Amino acid sequence: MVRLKNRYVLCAVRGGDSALRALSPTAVYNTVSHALLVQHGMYGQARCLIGMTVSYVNMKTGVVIVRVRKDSLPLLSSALPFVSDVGFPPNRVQCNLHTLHVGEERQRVREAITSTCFPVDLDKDVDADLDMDAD
Amino acid sequence: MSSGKKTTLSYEKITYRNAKKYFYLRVCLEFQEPTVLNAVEMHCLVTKALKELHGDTGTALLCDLIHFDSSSRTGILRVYCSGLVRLWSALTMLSSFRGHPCAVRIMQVSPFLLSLSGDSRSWTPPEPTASESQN
Repeated sequence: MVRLKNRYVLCAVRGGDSALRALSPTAVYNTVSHALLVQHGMYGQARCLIGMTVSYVNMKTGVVIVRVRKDSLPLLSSALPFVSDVGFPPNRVQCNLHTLHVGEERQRVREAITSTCFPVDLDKDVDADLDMDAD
Repeated sequence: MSSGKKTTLSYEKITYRNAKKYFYLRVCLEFQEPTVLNAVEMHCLVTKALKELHGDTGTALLCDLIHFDSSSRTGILRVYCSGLVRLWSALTMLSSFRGHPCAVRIMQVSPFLLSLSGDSRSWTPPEPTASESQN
């Protein structure tokens, strides 16, 4: 039985209110995908996009959770610091993605959010739980 | 009565994994149209191939063009053993250069530069002289 292992990367968007307004699952997905293309080329982008989704986006606090395969975690974690803007042109906004936590399960990441980062109720806030699979 | 100590010969096997620091590749360029290329353009081609497939991390790979023949468009590249797979795959996937369709053929790969001096496919035995044939 082959078991697929995932990793959940908890990030925070730093860039002011304009950056938070430009946040959306699609915008974050495209931004991360572009950063992977620049840093690791077509091979790295294709390898990382398999099984990569933006699990959670919060426009109020700027919290983003990206799910990726365990094997692709080094590629993603090395490309996230090079994200410099988010959003679709002409509404691109300059911002940075700060990696706060990497967890094996989504529950662990939620615990990290509630205990250390932000005292928010993840069930009540805007939860963009959309699957952005490429296929 | 001889009291000499008997010395027993012992057999020891030592295996070095990836002992060689560099790998050498003999490559040949093929264009659809007759194109003249110099060594600088050849190095640009290699860098472009690495940038396309492996991004900025690929261009950071240390790759040297040791020898290049403009007339036959063949050259010898040197790369660290850790970057051999990246370079080989990038050259294989290259399909065009400055708008011209092209292909890179990897003729030989070896950790020893001397082994690139010849191979059994291109070497032809010399014709025997008359004296040798009589003998």
